[in-house]
Amino acid sequence: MINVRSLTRSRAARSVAALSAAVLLLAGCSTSAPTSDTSAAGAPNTDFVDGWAKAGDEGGMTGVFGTLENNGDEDLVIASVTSESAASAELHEVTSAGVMQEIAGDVTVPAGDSIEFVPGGNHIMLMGLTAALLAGEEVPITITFTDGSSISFSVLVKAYSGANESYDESGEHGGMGEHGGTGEHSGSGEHSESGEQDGHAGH
Amino acid sequence: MPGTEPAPRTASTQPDATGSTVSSGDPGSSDPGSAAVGRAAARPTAGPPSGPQIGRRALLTSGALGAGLGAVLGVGGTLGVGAARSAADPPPPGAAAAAETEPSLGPGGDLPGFGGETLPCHGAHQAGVTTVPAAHVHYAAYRLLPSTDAAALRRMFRVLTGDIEGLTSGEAPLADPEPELAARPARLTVTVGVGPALVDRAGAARPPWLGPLPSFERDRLSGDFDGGDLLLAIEADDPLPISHAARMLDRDLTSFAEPLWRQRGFRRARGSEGDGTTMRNLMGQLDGTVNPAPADPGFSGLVWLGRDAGWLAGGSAFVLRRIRMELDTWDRVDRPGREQAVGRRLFDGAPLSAPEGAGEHTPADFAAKDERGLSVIPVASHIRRAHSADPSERIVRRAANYDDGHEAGLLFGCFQRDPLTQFVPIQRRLDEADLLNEWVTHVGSAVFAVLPGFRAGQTLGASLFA
Repeated sequence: MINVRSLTRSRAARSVAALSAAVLLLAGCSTSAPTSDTSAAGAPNTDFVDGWAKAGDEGGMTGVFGTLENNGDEDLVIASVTSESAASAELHEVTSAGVMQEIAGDVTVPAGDSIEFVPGGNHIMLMGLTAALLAGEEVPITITFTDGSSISFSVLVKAYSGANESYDESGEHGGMGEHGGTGEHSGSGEHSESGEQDGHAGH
Repeated sequence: MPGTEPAPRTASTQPDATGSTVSSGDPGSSDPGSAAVGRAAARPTAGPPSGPQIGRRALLTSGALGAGLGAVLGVGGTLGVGAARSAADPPPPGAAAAAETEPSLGPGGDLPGFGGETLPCHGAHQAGVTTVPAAHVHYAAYRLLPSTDAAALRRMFRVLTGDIEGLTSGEAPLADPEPELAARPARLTVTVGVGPALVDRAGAARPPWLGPLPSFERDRLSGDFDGGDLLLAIEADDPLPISHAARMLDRDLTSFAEPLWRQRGFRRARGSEGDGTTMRNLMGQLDGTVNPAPADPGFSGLVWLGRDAGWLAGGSAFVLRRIRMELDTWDRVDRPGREQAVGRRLFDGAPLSAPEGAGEHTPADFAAKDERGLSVIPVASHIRRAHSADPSERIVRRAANYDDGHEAGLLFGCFQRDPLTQFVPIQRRLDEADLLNEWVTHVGSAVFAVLPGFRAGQTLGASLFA
């Protein structure tokens, strides 16, 4: 299940609020207008820091990573994850065998603690991307908890060669690597962004 | 080296802080082999020890004086180290560099050693222009992909901004697969410049000087180190964080640009010489004796572009020349000939017109004649040809040596407002006549517009799209 770690952090939090300022500067090149007002969403004690998403092709899937913090006094249980940029979103884990699958059961963010989403581990999976996610864009995410509160934020899209875990049942989903965008592979000599030049629509 | 002597500096404005001359010895230490220990042992006799003094003594042996002292005293890293030290006690090598720094935000950033020092990337100007030059420099130039339009450039600068913030702070950028390599930046700076094609694609106005320099008669440009659409100048006192930063930035630029050329340079290792010591180049010359400093009157007007520069206000113009040294033929020249070619003594860098022991920063007397009526500083010597009587015809140089095993020379970088009125007239004179030309050849040339600085929450390069 989800790893829990202390909120004691040596790193300065790159918070949602900081990202929202950047979004304003970039208005016009994001795929959609992200909402970043976490307090208005009813979960004032949560934060999503150091968030980012792997670039991906239209119709494909990709991972979202970062740290979800619960600074409140009550445990929070994730009810759903949604994004305007994807047909659906799920919480996934990577098994000890290296196989990626949807997490079964509740995902709880304990009071005063946080959970991490990382490549090669638990992560948020966006599926059916409505448009290519290009490096440097912001992708909006909303996490809703079972108490009805939610947190909305946007994360930076980055080219990334890792996060290529595949499903056991290959017929159901492709691995992230197959759908993650050819432009992310820096060693191939290809420098094009697939989403701009040869996007693979319709996966 | 070419362009080194744009104008003489008066002796009154140029204290000799180099520590490189025989006259600036350390009166407090008679044992050159144990200077730090000697200072620490002698200090209690000068007065009652205090808390910070004890901490300072320990820190002297740890090498983390700047950041550590600031922490002990509860102040920022900007406190002059000299203020807390005896006037008779010259600061240890590296103190000037440390004084500009803050501790790394990465794991272990507060551990001893200069690896944990960081230079803030935020400010009115980018870091890496006036900050104390680091021991190592890596220049990486890129060519934009055909698909990289204005919208893609905005995304590119968003990614670059976060990467630079993460790399220079030690915190590591988002999606860094090796964050441990970012944790000890050793004063890492990433300074970004743009070429004419990028400015055009962004839709901004291209300054007249942004493009290839006018050709010079003696140039032998190979084509391997010329121009570019984007420049990253990465400096640090440790080559490891440079390699990490260069690779991280390379990965994140893959979607937007392809590598065009890269050049690596070096100065003296951190702490190997006293602060402010003029760098020696691989021909053995003190290189850059006359160089405007940020504290000098008129410095800003030489380097930083003003409000009339529009999107470049707060930026600068950077010229990078790759100057190959013909060391095999230089080997045939004996010291008198070498000194005549430059116009300075090799030992201390003093102009040939200066009396023995006068020191590196003695102004050159170009009118001085010897007993036969000949110029003491030869008419075709490097410093005479580079010299200009026009104080606006000066540049701020930031050079580094290079030696890749089969070719050695100088990566001659310089900042200014307008290369056409600052670097070019100097180089024009050197191109026409300079005794040094027999042993130096310009084989690479590039000009970039150094973007204005950015603050936390801002995006580097945002003014291009305003």
